Amino acid sequence: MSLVPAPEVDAGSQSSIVTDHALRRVVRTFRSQPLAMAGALWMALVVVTAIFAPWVAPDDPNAQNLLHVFAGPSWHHLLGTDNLGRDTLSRLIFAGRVALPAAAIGVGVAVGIGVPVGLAVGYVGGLWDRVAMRVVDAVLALPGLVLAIAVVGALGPSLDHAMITLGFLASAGFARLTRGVVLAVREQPYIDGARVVGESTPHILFREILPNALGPIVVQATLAFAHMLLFEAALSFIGLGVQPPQASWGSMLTDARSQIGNDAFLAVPPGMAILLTVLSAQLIGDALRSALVRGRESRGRAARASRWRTRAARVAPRSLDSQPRPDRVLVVEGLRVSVGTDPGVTVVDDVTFELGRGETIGVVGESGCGKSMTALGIIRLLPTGARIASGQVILNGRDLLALTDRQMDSVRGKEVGMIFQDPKGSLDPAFSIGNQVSEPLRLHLGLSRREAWSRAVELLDQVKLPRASERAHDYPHQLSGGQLQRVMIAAALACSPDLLIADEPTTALDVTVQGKILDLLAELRSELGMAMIFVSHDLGVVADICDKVLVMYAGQVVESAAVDELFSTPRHPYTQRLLETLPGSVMPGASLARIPGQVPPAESWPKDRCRFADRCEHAGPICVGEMPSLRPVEGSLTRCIRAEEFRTVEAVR
Amino acid sequence: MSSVLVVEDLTVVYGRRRRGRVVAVDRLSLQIEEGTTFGLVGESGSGKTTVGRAVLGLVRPASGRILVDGGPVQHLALRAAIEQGKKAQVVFQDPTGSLNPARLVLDTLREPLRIHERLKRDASTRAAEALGEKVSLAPGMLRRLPYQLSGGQNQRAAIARALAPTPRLVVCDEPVTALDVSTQAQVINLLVDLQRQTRVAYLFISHDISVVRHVSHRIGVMYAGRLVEVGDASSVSTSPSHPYTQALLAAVPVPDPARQRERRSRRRALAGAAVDDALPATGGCPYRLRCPWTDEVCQRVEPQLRPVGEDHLVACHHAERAVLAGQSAEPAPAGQGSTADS
Repeated sequence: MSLVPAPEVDAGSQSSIVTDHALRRVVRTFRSQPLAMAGALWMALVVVTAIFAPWVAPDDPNAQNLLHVFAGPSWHHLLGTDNLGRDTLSRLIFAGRVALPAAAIGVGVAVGIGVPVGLAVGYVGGLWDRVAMRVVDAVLALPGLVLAIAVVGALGPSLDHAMITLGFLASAGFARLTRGVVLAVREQPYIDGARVVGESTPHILFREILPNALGPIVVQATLAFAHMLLFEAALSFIGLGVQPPQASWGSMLTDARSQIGNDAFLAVPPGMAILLTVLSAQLIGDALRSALVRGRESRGRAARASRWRTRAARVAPRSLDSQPRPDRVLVVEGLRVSVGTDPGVTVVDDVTFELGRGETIGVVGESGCGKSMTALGIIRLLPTGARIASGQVILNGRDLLALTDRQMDSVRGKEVGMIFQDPKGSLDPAFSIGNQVSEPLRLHLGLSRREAWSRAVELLDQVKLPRASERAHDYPHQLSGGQLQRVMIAAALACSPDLLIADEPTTALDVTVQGKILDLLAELRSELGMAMIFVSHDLGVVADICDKVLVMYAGQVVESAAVDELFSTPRHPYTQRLLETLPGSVMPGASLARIPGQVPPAESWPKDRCRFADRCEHAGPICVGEMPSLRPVEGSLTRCIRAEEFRTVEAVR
Repeated sequence: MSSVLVVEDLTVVYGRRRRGRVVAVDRLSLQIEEGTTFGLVGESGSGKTTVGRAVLGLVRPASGRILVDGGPVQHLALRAAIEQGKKAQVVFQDPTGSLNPARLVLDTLREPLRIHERLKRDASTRAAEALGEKVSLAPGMLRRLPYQLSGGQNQRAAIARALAPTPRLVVCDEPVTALDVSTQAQVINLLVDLQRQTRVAYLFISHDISVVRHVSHRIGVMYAGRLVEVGDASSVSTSPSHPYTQALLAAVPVPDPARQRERRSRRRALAGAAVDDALPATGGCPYRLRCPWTDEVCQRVEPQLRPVGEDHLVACHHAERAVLAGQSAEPAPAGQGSTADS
């Protein structure tokens, strides 16, 4: 939230903010890319000198001086003179007055025709769209320059005619580009919302959809501008553009070519002018693309990452439970995960727990509290930019954090299985499901292809995929969400891991299917005796399958307890509030308890006071005095300094 | 007539050719009274979202009649239906997708005010800020782009936009599904409060029957494009009479480990012996492949909605047996379900 300060703007000028955001990104991109900056400066120079040509040009571009033909560069004539003694620099500057407007006409026609056509056919769709796209294909297949020459041939030499023709041809590209954006945006809920509100179709096209397409259009326009400059030069070079004595970069090249025997240097200035200007337009286009188009997609990610860019809290890890249990599979000790450059921002802060055989621990909390980061940290699958800052993860007596990446690869999939929320995204659409379940068997257990396949079928049968031997040949798209999650479980269990990490495995499923998956997991757990870490935001699911629970808030464990204890007597106000917000907790229609505010971004998590205090109705001065430690209260662990007091308060109510 | 929404025999078909023709909604009827909430539940693919889209004029029904506030719904093709916008509005699931990412939240809120109230720029800005206040969004928040707001804030803005033309009906399509529980509670409370203030009616579409039960006055349960049970919210949720409704209710995990252990066995029994996500059957009862009560009648005869109580209809041949079994905590007999499988 604190990402960008709320802009203080008067009514009436709000729409400028949207462009402000884009402008800021563009400026930042050009600053960070010297080549693009150089291109922009050159383009600015060409434009400015062209506009003010009569004042900045040292000479009249057409003033002949036959006494000074083929003069090389000198103080008088910086770029020399041509065969008629005309000053090359002046001609070059004045030629800009031909090239830039010509290219602008071309781009203007292309955008003016292409964008509205693309918007309209993309939105209307159906037959119109199909016909228009075939026309676009045909137009794109036409050789532009040849057609322009034909038009000039028919209508007489005129640069404008030629550029309009070329612009018309280029409009096909703009139509296709715009249509693509429209197709992507058209199905978005906000467009449906605009229709329901009663916005007219032109309004939806130009005010709702077009702003989403502006980035790509601007980029395409810049690149088209470069092409148009080249076309103009080419036309003038073959004598179909501007007519002598008017100067154009192309016609200057023609003159130079005829005089190549007398003065080879004549070709250099116009050649360089064309080269540099076209190159500049391309560089500008590329920079705009990275600022406007790619920036658009990664903006969310960049924004989130930037939230993490502050100093981390440094709390010494300490051991909590010194009673070792002989049957424990996993011990996590003081796990801390940071994001961003060192020291970074701590997003998982000092998480400690242990897990025995056949035991399941639930990890709950709102999004942004570090649940998934904890799970991913344990198997060292953190996203780029995140890393484990300190702690120990001991699986079967071996510290996973001390292993090399290679050793870790053999742990994942063999000793630790994983299932995620989105089974569709976790399976490769190009391989049959039997293939994907047998892969870990071949990789980790060294089974032959045939052995692995028959074992995979057994596994698919074990996860109750109906007709497993036939369906093993199916591809992911042929299965429903629930069935895919069964396949994921089969793959995760292929090597009989000691630990299964399940990150929101039933969130995307229908509730009846969710029930079956939970049953399946419970059954497999007792059969195979594996331990399970179950990350979920759904407290009901946690009550269903877990033996104990970690409640996380702002990167910390705020409560840790056996499942019955946690739900019957929550010891931390956050846990209690989470339970009360559920719709089943009050009479229908009655007001649900709410936790005021929201989880703050990681960069603003305090390190010297209770992190939940701002949202807690029980908070008092003592809560903001120091960071409460995770301490035992009647069999549970809680991070609330007033746990006993607040329990009494609740009891009195 | 105080019905804000009347849907009669609505059928929606996707795909024109014979191949790939899908009947998304099949002869569905429902009514919503002023100031009340009708909750529509069902699993993904049951057609509940399509009902909402048809009510808004976003899909063209194959047959049937939809009246919003007494007037027929016009399909929103290319011509804007301004009058319709005054009657029915919408809140979608995806909190970021419901607002245009390239426009300020304020500009999105001003749109309905410009169209329906014909407000000029300054007046619409003030009105939009007042709307924002109603959903607890400060003016500073409105001057941001959607990606700079949290999911809950976006959803509150979407609700403000929907309420701007003071509609009689708002279709809420999974409005809280993508939100955290704490935010979900805020949005639900907001919807309930706004209903009390404005007497707006909601068509509340969700797969989460516990949320639906909380907000609804009446509940309809959809399966395979059909309404299989409909009635007063408390009687549908306390004495569910369709095996599918029973399975849905039993499958909702409750945040109480002791109770959940009991519910687990019931869930198992009611979910049916058959394949978990078996496709709906064609001919006869669509639920028969998943139903523990299936017999030969279910294969032949498609059950029609019939009363089982006051304002409580169910489309099941064996509703009475199912209810009895539901009351005695003992689950349905095992083994019966398997006869009609495959």
